[in-house]
Amino acid sequence: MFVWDRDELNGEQEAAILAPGNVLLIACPGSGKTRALTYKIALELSKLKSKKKFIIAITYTNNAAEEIKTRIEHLGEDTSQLWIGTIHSFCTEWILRPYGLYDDALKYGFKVLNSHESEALLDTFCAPYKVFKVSYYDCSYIFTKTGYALGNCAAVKRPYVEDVLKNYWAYLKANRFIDFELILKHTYELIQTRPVIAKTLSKLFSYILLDEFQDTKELQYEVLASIIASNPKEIGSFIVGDPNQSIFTGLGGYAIALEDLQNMTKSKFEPFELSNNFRSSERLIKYFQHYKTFPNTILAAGKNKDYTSIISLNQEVMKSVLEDEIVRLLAFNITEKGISPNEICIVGPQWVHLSALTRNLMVKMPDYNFNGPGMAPFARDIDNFFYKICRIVLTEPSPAMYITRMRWSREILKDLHEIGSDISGTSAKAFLRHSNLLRIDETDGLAYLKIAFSELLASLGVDKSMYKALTEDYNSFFASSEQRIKKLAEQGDLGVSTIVNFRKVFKQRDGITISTMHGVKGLEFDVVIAFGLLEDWVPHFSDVDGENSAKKLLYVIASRARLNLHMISERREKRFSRPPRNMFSTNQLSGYVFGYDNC
Amino acid sequence: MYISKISLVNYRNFKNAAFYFNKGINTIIGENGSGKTNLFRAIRLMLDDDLLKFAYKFTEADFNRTLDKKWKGHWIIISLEFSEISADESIQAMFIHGLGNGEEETVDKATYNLFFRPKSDIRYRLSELAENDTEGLAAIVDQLTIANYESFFTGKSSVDFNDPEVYKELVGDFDAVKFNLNPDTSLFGARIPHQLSISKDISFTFIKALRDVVSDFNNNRTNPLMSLLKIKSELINDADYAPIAHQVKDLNAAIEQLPDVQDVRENIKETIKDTVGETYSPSSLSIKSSVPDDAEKLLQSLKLFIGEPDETYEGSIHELSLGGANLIFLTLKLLEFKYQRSADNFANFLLIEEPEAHIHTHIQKTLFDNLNYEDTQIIYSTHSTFISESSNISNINILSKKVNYAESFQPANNLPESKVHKLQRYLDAVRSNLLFAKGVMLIEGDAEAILIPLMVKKVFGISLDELGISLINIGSTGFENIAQIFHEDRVQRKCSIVTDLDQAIADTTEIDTDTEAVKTYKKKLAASEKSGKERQEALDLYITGNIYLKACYADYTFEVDFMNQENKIEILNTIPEVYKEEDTIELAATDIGDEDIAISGKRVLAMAKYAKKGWYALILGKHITFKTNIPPYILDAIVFSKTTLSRRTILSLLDYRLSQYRKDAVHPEFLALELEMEKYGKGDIALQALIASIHKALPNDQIKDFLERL
Repeated sequence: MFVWDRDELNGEQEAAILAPGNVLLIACPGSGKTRALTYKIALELSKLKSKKKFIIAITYTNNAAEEIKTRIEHLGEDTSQLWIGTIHSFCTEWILRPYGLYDDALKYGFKVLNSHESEALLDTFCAPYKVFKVSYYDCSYIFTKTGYALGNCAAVKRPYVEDVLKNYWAYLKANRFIDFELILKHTYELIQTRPVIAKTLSKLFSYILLDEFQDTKELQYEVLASIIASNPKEIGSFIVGDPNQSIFTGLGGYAIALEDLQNMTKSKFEPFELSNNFRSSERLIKYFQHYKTFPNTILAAGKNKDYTSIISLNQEVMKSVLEDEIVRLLAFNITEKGISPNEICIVGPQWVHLSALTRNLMVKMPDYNFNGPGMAPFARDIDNFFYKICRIVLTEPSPAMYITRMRWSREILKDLHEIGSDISGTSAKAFLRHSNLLRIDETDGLAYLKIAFSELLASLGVDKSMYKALTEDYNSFFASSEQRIKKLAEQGDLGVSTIVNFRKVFKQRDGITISTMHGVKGLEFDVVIAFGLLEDWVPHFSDVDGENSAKKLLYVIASRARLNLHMISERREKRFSRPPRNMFSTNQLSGYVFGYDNC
Repeated sequence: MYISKISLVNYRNFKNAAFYFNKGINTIIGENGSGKTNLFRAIRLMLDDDLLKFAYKFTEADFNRTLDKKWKGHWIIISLEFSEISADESIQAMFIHGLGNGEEETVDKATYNLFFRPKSDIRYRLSELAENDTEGLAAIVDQLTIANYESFFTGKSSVDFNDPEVYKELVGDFDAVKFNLNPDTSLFGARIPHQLSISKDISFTFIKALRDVVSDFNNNRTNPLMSLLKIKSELINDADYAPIAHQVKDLNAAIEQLPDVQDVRENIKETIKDTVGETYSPSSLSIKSSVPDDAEKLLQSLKLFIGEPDETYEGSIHELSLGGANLIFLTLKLLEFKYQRSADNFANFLLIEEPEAHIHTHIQKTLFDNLNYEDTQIIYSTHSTFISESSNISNINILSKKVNYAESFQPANNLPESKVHKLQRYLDAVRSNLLFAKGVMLIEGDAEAILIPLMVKKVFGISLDELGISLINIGSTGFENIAQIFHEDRVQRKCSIVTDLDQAIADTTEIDTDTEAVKTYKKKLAASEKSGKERQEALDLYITGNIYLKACYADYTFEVDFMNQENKIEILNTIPEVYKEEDTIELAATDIGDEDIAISGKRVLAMAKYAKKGWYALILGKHITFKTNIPPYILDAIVFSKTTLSRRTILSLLDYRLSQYRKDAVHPEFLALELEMEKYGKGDIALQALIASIHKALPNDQIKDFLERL
């Protein structure tokens, strides 16, 4: 039985994970939700009585899955009966691979397209509609129980987007490709038409844990609930999240209500709360509670409770001097408040060129490091075989990384085995050793990787030209990497193609973080500087529930900060607007009367 | 849950074979070399933890020999089908997840397949070939080695892998050069999820043929007693064991302190010092007693002592009789199986290879009548008739050896339940070796049973066994029950049916002058003829369309037809043993000599009846010589039921007859024939040419009639 020391978990966390029945846990920001989840998994693993039962944990990202798995391994629990990953991996591994044979579209095999590949494909299908300004961004869609729904699509573009999608789906079908949404659609259909699938799976799973439930979509709830409902007496459920942070409604995510959850799963759920925020100051907590859309209690409980937070709002600064204002705020926090640059984050809307901002800031503040999006010179396509090799080639061997790198190495051998290569002569350890011994005299990143790949494949005795899947992955890896490097270079980022820069991708976070508003989900910093808080951006102009979406975004942004929060609604003009018109500060922000600090 | 079907394609001596099994006890019957061990090995590759690694280590020799050098590009397929699985039981969920053939609501079958196939790069290249591009195909497959192959497990398949069309669809059409890259998984199955480990889900025990049991007992790894003790030593209670461990330590100390042991130690030390000097001597030296105090090791030092039945002496295994040791070995293995059957397994399989070797026949039957564990499927291979008798005819698979491959038959396949019961009862009653036969001749009486083997032996110098024929006397039970086994669907072996037409030996037209007795006699003859005709019609209809059956009719009855075949000498010779009185003997001899069958036939039947049919056959048997003529309908039956005769066998028949002729001084030389025989032996001339030479040398000999029928 897994046990923990008194100081490892607080009372709220303990109550939730020791509850005998199913739990719906509403966790406020900074309340140690991931820790509770991790300990709950470890506890349930230790309670497993049969070697034939599994614990299923669904996380929002692969990184989260990997981090939780590593933490559980460090807690000393055997993870061989734990399956943890995203809902898409879950559907693929547990339902589409074993049961796809009952689906005429899948029975001859299928390939899952990653988000980059489907974006690139959509882009090509958008080309004929370029005059109508249709791009892949307009084509985000979700499948629903009855059909499909478009994401951020202006009404005028709808007919074009529908055409694009029709062509895109036809192409996928003809080539036996499926994208992430099709994974969900096929899974849902299989579960619906073949009750025996849910019935069988329900006998295999002793516990189902779902993290970040507020970002879960209808079909995802349906799939998980069908399984639980097939055997409600023997499956435990632990569902965690924060309805106030439900910022992916545009992609169909929503926080399910307790009653609906109970009806769908045919199970009784006990609501629990984690209301102690150990992250932020009392002043900050008071501030962001204003943006709540779900009524829960949040109490300041951490060491920053009494910190005198500076919370500022700047609605005057002009776009042309926005970067100077950000530089000023950075300098203020670093030099006057003594805050480490590593603990500062700049967030902006995702349709602003954050990489350009990053680059300009680097020029203006040459003594500091910046971590921005789109700075990685190659696609983070975690399913690409060569990306997987990259992870090992571009990281340094160290005791702290050993478990992780061994896992990566095993994953590579598993992939090779699955495509039919004979790997009986080697081992994960041997592969890691080969990789550590690589000495390549080459400064260009891609050239370096080409040599590294060919040497490593040679050491495994694999000729990639013999395997269609490997050739495809190889070409796609280099094509998308070259494209990214070209794009970055066009934006003036010239040092990006060096191997030194490549290695940074996997280095520990170092420097000031620059992220999209959606990208800061789950993170925390001493200081958060947010800009672009403008109506039409926050919320997005096509959002039908703009008021709530804006609240949730502001809630997420504000609750990332431990100490200080700076918000900027810079003055800028609407794009494509003739005659020029100014954008306005986000309504939710303007409508909130708060004693902002001057700084 | 149980294994309901096994399909083997291109594996070892199976080109394409299907085996069907039921719950409980199943029997595999087959002669040596027919592939019983290969079948078991195929099952073990799939289910036995000890052999699983070999599922990844096939070699060229594992491909069926009919493929010869052309195995390259072909697949080996081993497919298991399981029945009676339940989706309601948690314990089977992983199994069903990986293998279950789910309908919408339920699952009742599961399949588990192993493909040994070219790796994906090769399959990709094959799929890219244009249709009919035989050169392209040759260019790819000629280069293949075993290193280009992989083992691939799938579950949930829905096709019959024994169907050649299925093989074409899955593997490819080598003639038309058509290869699929992505087979339809709904037909051929989906890859097994990596979480599933079937060998850990089930309990599986294999007991190999008992050939060298004593050496197995001497080897710790194969000693079944050790396995049992090991299982138990893991469960041993520490408190119970502590005092024993303590005593062992004391014991070791006491042994070490023995003065004699100390003496030896001192002597060693002194000798070393004397020979190499103080400088090079070891600094210390002691003799330690090492009786193990560890529970596992100590328990493993235990030995079994056994007394033979009705003896008072208890000895160790190697002192036991071979039969006794085998029995103990088998019993211990069965116990090990019982230990292994645990609550965590939902299926138990026990495979026993040829349990009869060296076990007394009486014990064999008892042993297997009593071997019946709940939730356990037992499959054993055997060539013992005693064991096969205790198995249900529906649970039998028969292996039949062919050149370079073997076939499998199920004797009760597609028979209605009622007929299976009848057949079962019949087989139980006659203790027949019917199921082991290569060819069968069914007869209806003791006379045929006694005389046919004798005639064949005397005339051809060979036994029916050597011709591969089992003679089955079905008495008066009718042929249908037995004959139905021999069928396209069931046992594909030849079976001839030998019966009498009972035609009247005299004119049955009644005339006014007939006495009452004559009238009755004529009526009886007519009635027999009529019923004989009816039987013939029914039998001809019964065998129509079945190439495995042939009816061979005696025109009258066996004795009459025998006599009519110029065998009057033999009959005449029996007269003094049948009758005692001179008058009767003389009369009988005159009757037999009569040309009219109404008279001679009536007499021979009267003699047979007088002496009781079976006894008369024994008497007649003494007078059979190599010159006795075998009635043609019996020759027909022999030729139909026999297996193919090699040139060597044919020559040995001929040699035998020549040697018999040489005993008669009149026939000293067959030089011309012998020369031809030599040519025939070398394969230089055909059988027809040999027959022509025989005709020249021995114009009227019946060997010619026999050979012409081949």
